[in-house]
Amino acid sequence: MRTEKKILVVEDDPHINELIFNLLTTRGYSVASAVTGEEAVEYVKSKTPDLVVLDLLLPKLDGWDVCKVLRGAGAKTAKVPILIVSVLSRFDSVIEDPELTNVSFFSKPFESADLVKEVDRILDESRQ
Amino acid sequence: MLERQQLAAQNVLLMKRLRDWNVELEKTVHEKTAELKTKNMILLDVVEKLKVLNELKSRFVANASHELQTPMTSILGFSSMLLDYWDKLDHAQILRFLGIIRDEAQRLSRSSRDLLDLSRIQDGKMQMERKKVNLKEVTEQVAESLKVVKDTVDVKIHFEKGSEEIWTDPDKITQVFTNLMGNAFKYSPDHTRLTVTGKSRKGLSVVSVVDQGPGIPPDKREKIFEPFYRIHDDVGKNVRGTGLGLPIAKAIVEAMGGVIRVEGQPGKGSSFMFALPKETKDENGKEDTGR
Repeated sequence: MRTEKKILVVEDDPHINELIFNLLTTRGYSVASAVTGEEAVEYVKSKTPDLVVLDLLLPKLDGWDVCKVLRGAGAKTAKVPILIVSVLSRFDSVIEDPELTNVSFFSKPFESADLVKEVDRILDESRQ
Repeated sequence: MLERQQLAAQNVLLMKRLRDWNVELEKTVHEKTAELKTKNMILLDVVEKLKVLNELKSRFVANASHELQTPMTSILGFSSMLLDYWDKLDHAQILRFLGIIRDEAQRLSRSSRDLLDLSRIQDGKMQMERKKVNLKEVTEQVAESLKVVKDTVDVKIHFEKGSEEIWTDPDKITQVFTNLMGNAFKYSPDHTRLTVTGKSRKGLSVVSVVDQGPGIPPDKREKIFEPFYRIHDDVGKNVRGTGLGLPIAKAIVEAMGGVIRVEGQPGKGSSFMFALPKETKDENGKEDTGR
């Protein structure tokens, strides 16, 4: 069941946050949202979602920092898959860091069906 | 014997000439080497400056791309969501998403227009009109239009006698006021005051826009006039704009022969000040009032 899957959306642009939140909620997932890296880390540590959809350019603690903190913050948070959704080129991104495993990249702008497909794929794979 | 003496004397003379030439040659080589070194240093300096300019250009393009892609993400995302999930959305959601698409399309349009404006001003391609403009009236008009969007900021306007009228481009100076006051409005908490004052100083009109917002740290005062620069902290997270308002204001003021700067302390508000010549001079140094 999709509703059993918890997804955290981390995005500081209010409209894009609302877009991804509504898209994944309509798809049937249980979604929470955060606008800062600090909120995201706090949420993942306490609630352990099944996926984090993460923007890179965030105030203070940015997306790269969030990835590093989560991967170094114990076994529970280290395994949570992260989907980076960013306008930055994938070659500039954190996935180039081999130490950061289970991190995928998705480019903005995107069509809603493509993002949903990617989220479904990651969650299906992590179930196996 | 005589012939031998003559030859020896000639030899001495030739040797002396040769030594002189040698000295001269060494001197020339030394001078040319120094000259080359100087030219080399100038060239290295130029190369370094070009590298910096190139980096600035790359950063500008990357930032511009980000600034255009962000509204595009909302437009493409919400419109495709409406098409894909129209039967699962309620009426209120559909209206809300359509409203966001319209707002973000407007934001995209503003960003591209501002980018073009900035590029025109920086390339010196901006046409400047020169008319008599009353700065106090411009301030009042801008305050009225901003109050429509946010009416919780108290605006006080005071122009000293002699500071109100200048000869300048009416549309461009209105844009400077709109950008500076609009920025102050955006960062002003509710029920605070925005004060705009004008003073007259030695042929200049000096305008200050003082708000009671979060203020700007001293190390960010130059940077806020750079395109797309935002102070990335909690203060700015709910404030939206194209990131070009202040750079455009600065470019216009400088194109008008004026200066602009910002003061203030973090937590105690910001004070933007710009000074413009009241009457421009023509190429003969005479006052040109446009009459």
